[in-house]
Amino acid sequence: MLRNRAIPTRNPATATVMHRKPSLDFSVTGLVYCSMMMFMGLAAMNSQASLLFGVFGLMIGILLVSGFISRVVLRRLHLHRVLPELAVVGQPTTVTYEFANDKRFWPSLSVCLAELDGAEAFTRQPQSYMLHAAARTVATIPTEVMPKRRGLHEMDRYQLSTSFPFGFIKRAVERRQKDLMLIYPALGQLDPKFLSLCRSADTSGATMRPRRGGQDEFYGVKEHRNGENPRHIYWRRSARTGVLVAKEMTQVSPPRLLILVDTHIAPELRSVQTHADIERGIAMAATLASQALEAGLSVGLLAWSDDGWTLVQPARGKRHRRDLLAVLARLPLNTDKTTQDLLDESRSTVETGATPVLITPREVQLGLSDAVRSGLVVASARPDGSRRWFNFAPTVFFDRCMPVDQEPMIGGQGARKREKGKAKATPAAA
Amino acid sequence: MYDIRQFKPALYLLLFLGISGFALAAQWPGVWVLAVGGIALNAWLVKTGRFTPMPRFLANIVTIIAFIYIGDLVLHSVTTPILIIGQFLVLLQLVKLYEQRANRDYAQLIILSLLLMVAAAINTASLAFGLMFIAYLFLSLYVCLLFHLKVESEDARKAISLPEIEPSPNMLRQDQRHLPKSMRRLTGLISLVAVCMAVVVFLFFPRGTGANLLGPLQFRPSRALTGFSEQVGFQSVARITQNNELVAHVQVWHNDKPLNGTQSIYLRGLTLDHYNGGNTDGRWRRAPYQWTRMLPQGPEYEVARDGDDRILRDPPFGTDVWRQRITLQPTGSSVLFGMGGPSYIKLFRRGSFVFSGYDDSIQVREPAQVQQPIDYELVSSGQMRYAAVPPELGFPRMRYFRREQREREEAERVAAERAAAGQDRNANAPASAPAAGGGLHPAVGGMVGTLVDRAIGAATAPAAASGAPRGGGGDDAGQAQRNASSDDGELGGRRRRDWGGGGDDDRPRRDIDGAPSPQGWRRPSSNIDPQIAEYVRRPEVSGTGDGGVPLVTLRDRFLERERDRLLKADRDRNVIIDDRFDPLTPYDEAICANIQAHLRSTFTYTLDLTDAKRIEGQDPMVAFLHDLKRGHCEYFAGAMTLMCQSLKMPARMVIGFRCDDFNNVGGYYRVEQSQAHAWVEARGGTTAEPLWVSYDPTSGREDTGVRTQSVWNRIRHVMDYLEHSWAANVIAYDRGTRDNLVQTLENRLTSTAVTSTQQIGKLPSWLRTENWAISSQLLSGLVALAMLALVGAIGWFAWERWRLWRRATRIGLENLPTEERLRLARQLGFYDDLLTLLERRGMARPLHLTPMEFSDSLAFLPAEVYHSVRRLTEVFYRIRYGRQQLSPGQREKLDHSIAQIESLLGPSRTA
Repeated sequence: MLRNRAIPTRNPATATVMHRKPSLDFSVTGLVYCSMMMFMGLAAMNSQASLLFGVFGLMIGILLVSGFISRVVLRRLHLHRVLPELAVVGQPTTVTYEFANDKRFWPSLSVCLAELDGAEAFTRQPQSYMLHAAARTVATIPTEVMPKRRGLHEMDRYQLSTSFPFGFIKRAVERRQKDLMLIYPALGQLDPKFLSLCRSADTSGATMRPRRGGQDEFYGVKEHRNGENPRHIYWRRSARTGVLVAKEMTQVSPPRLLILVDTHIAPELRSVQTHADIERGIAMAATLASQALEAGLSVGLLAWSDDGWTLVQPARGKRHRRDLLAVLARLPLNTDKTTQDLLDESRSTVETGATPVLITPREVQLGLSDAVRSGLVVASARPDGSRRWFNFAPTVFFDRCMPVDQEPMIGGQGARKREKGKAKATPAAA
Repeated sequence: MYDIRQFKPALYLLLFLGISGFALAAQWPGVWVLAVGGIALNAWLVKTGRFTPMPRFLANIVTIIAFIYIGDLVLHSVTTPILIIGQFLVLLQLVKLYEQRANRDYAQLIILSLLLMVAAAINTASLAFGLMFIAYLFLSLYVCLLFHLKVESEDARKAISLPEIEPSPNMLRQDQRHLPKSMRRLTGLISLVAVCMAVVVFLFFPRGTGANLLGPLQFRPSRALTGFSEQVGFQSVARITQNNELVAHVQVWHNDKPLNGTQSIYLRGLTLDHYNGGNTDGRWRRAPYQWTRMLPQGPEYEVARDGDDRILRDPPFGTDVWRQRITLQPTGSSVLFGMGGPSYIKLFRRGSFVFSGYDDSIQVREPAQVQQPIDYELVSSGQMRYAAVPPELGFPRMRYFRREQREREEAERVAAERAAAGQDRNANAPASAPAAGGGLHPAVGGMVGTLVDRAIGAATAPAAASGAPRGGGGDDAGQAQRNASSDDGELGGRRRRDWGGGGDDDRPRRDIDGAPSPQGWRRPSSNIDPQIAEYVRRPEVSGTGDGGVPLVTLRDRFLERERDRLLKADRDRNVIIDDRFDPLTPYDEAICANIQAHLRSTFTYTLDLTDAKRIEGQDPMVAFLHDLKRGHCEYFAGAMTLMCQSLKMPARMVIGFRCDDFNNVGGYYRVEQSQAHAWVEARGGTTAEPLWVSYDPTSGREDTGVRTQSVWNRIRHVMDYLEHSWAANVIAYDRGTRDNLVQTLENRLTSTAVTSTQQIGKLPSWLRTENWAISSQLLSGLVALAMLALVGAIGWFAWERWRLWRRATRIGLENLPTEERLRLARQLGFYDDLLTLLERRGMARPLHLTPMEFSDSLAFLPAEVYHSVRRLTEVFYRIRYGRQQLSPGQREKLDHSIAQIESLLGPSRTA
């Protein structure tokens, strides 16, 4: 019998339903079988037919061996998870389970797997079914899951259960296998105009005068100094001038974007909607970073994290993309650093020549001098503002995308009372 | 991956086995043909994809119609209800088979099939069915396992969102390769445990308790005995058909030597002494032309424990001893069969039985004894003493008011005889009464035996000799006589129990059918047609004596003389002569032999008696003698019995079996229904010791000894022996056998414990005695050996560990944890051997090369060697880094590969 037990979350409405089985249970089939066995015993005693006594004993033996085999099936059966390289909120992904049957002789059949830890990361509890693993073999079973929350999730405890061989007795065991799974924020579709807007606002790259450094194109000559690479000596010019001169090369830089992710939320304003806006903002940042990198732009990131301001310098490449997405996936709840703090922090970065793109959950009015001076592009994560440029799949629900520990307390009765109390304490915010 | 393809073929096979088993048990080939045809058709439709499930409403209608039909059959058919229910189950299976949609239907099919086999198991003791049942149980386990996997995988597929990813071919291959093997292993384990448990329950589960708690499952006996019947009638002339159904297995020892089948034996059942003739008054519910048994039932014996024995009477001195061990199948009759003159019986099933000393018949009383196979052992003498039956049905004292006076006179006379003879026969006086002709003429002894008071004494004989019949006085002759007197007054066994042991109470008596009986009713004689009496008097029938005078005439003259003399001698003794039978004459046996010879030579044996028009409205016996001149054994025996009785010679028809089918493999006679037989017993012997002499007048049934031993017969005997063993050891396993087994086990355990204790107790004394020196040396030697063994074991362990250590170093495992290092060193021994082999040939692995690079560097070797080394290196990698473990079989294969490499490379340089 399945018993549902929900992990205590802050919002029961968004909690993933958990299925957990008792370690030993009788099924309805088992009860029917026991009834039939008793009937057979009664028939044998009533008729005194020897064959029926034999059948009665056979049925008792089957019941006993059923309990024994269900234990053997789960014994020395180990699990190894093969997690996907990329898991994105709202996009189905495949987790592969490897069931290693270490028994020398006996196979394992009909084993159900249910994840007990980390299930909140998915829309449904990850479950799998292994039909057969022969002795000393590994059965590989892929399972499709749908990530629900971004962040780093620990998958530790899991439950193996079986009702093999006849379904009379259901047995379950809990085991541990610690694995970490990072789920990136949701990735949507970005309007190309937004990327063009970022390019036009860029103060670097092709539209800027070339700067020294690099190896791409000729920039100029300079007097050679000791210690510099002799390969760069411009011999013809040196012969003509009698002074050792060296060539200076320049680098053709692509547009550089610095995404400023504003995750600030005032504690008194925490609600599902505000959290959803923040999550949407993070998803927009991830989408922008991903699409810009695919378009060949260098992308950097500035956001507030547990360790202070996290700055990722603009760069390109798949690995950089993963890094950016990983930072975004792990962004914590920010109740300290406001939007202005973020802009102030970004000034030093913007001076290096990158185009700042501010993604904020609220409507921000910047001063004209700021915008002109830095070429700042602002994208609001409010639904009406974001829909202009970003389009997300309907399977993404931003009100439940945040990690569990960031979820606002609105589920239980006590939580509601606390929420009400906070609202009364801050009438202006309300 | 989740498709259990083995399920459906296994299910169809299971259904086939179930229906075959049921058809075998019920012996309904028609049902088998129809059901198997239906299953085969369904399987073909499913396989070819043409199957469409039957609409649900149609299935319901068919089921309801079948239910009504089966209900009608249960109420009105003569077939056992459980077989009819089985028929219904077969029909339900077919309906379900053609309605199959989901797993629920498969589950119902499996359960229906199991119930069908249970119904069949109740109804048969056949070995073939037993074997089929065992196979069925194993197959059903396999099917249940597959079915569970099927259900679970389908549920999982619905409950768990499985990705639309096709499993890799390797995985599929692994499943297809390993799943049957795994299923076989698990089925084997389940079967082993289940069978062990079944054997334990079968052997040790308490038997007998709770029997018929819910009433008998079989409302009628499973085997109606068509060959043998307790009554013989001639109204239904076409009733006799050949039936080869098994009745019994009989082992016979003659004077403690087993019979080897060189002669036929007659197993007596009941005797029928009264023929109703054309009497249609319906008295005692007898039909016209019917033979019935009109004899007192005899005392009842109780067998409290399985295997208890009872002495029926003292065996006659100097006669042969025939010991018979009989396993009787349920016949629907309460009669136990055996050879004539039984004196001892041992019943292997508790219950009670009734023994009648008049015709030596034994009948069990408990219903369970009738419905189940019964084992018993009988010791017979082969001679049946003639005991006259009292002519009255009522209580003798009511009619013979001068009995006390006669008893007093008789006691005085007996006392005088004893005084004269100087011997005391007081204890057995009633038993010797029929033979105590005393001072009368020898020829009149039989007549005296027919006198009422003698008849009482004769009737007492079996009761007095039987030891302890229920309600009887045992050693007390007077009590036994009173019991016998009460036996005389009642013919039904149950009524004897109702009336207790005393005969002096005034409770009303009842006749054999339970109706109140007028006291002092005279025992009726057979209603014999005058044509029969006339027929037997023909000289060609009864024979002629000296001078061509018919024997019947000579006999009449002799009887006339003796009657006059007897009446003249006993005029003052107020005796009553039984006018039913004449006394024994010297001509009786000759007449009987002539009648037998006449019937055998003149009449024809046949079972085809459907020619009813010729005997309609006519006594069948008369028709047989005058018109038909053919018939089966009952006609022959009936005609001869009536002919003898018409001459007032005591005669009776005996029904039983004539056994001539001897099984050489098992050393027993196999008795079938087709061997049911009827013959005649007539009074013979001498006047001093009158006996019942058997005659078999049926023509064409002469004793031809054993049947011919053809190959087919031998095969049949082997199969029959197996079936007999199955029935005797499995089907007939009951409470008694279980008690014996438990008792034997207890005894053995106790004796083993006692013996062990004694042996242990003797050990110190043995050590204390002169054996001490020897034993101390022995002990010292043993201790030294043990020490050596211990040192050797430690040394071997250390050497082995050192060897593994070195091997691990050679392979490059020295940086691993100790446990892992040792494990890998054990597993990778083959690779070490390979390296050593190559090193001896100058191909040492440089330290900077990985194993794979090293194997690649050996490309100069012959291709076969190179590929073998590559494969071994790959195995090395799988074990070293893939945590694969080698089985012993795989190790053998690897060793074989290395040996092949060695042979291909030739001798090493060092060698």
